[in-house]
Amino acid sequence: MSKYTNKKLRKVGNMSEEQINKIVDELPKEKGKYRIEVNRSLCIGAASCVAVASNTFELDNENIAVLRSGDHDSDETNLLAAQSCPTRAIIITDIETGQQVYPS
Amino acid sequence: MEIFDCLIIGGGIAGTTAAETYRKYNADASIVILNKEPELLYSRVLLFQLLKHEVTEAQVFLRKLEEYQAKKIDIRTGVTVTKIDTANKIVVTDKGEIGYQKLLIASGGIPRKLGVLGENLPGIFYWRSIHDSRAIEQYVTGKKSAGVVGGGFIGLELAQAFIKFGLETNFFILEEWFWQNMLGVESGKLLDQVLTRNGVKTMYNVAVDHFEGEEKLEKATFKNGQSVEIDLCGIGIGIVSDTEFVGDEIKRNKGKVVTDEYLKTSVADVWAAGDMTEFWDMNLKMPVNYGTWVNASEQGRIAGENMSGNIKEFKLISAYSAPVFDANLTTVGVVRRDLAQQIEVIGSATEGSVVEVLISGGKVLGATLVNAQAIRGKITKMIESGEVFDRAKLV
Repeated sequence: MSKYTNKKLRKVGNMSEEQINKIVDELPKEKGKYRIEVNRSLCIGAASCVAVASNTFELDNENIAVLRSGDHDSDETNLLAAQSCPTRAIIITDIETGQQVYPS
Repeated sequence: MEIFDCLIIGGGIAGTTAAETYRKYNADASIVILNKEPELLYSRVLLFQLLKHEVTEAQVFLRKLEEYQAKKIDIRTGVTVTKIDTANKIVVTDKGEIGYQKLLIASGGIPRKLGVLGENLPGIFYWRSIHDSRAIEQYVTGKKSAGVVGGGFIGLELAQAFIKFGLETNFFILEEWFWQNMLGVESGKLLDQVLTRNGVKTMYNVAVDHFEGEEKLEKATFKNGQSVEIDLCGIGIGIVSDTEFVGDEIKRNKGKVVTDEYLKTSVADVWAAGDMTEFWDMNLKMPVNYGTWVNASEQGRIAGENMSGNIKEFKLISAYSAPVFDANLTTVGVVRRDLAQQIEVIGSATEGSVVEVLISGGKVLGATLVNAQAIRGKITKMIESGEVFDRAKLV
């Protein structure tokens, strides 16, 4: 499951594991190799991530960075965005290895 | 003498981002960062959370030495630049001379001094570096009362930290209301309500004449003759550009290094980025300076691109946002009231939310938002599009 980041899949009720895996395999796989998370309690809305990777991040109504739907910026750009955050609120994980890439 | 392909003065977010960007396009280039402070890059934004014990000191640091090494960026800390010889492309430091092919000035600023008698007494703090944070933290133990001088984000953060420490906190404000050169009276009223209900004692129209105390701070006396007894005082009245070493060859304006829209200075092969940069804003058709994190970070990136030969214009709608106890203060765009022909106020102190939109030539220059984060996005879009301001879109 760790290869797939669509959390909705965890809420599929009484389906068998086989059925779930079939659906998962048919899903379009995440394009990038990184999983991106924003720690809402750290984010202050400085919006440097939005400046660097405007296709990946936007601010919500509470002034907190959230991930946009649709096509994201490249992995490299997303990593740059995380590195530009003044509160280290963006966590980048390599989906394949499970290793946290930033903050290291 | 060593000669580097890329020499960067200043190891803050602007200088560090520029070095990392330059490396991306120049795999074999030699890159050096000369940093005045003894530390590697840390987040000044997080110094507030550090003072409030919401993050650890380790969390404040944004890069590890191994990360510089992995990118073959030679980071030298505790080095002070004293002169730039642009004719011979040499930077003179307290540790010797270094040559450069391309130079970036990203030296930031130092706290502006109040310039009054007694301001060097123990117990008086300017708050810019991680050292200042440590010093405040150590001094505060066993103290009862504090003063804060300066209307701005730093003053607001100091007041919040002092309240958190359990100190009786007095806010000495020079003007009739808080941050009068940036905020209108309604925003000022609302911020006063927020500060007051959280235990801060606000005093307006007070200018510190001098500080007094035997061996350490005991009292602040104002120009009107009034005095307040305090054990410590935090001062946040802005920064001055740390650019004295730049000299006369590279054009400066009131200390700020002047650049074009590509962050290039008046001298060949020299760029500038960050708090001490006054760049030419193509949208506004005027020189602009920002002191925000996002500006420094983005200018570092764009300077790194341009130094690599990828010509990119610097464009940014700068913003800063900070909590004020249970409220929030956000600025977006150019928040200079002196440039605004019209100021639209939405909300009021009574309603608990005030937005002030600064307008020039019918278009939005910038805005200040007290407790109104939800419309930040809309205002940002208005500035971006350059559309004629329409109040109906915001209310």
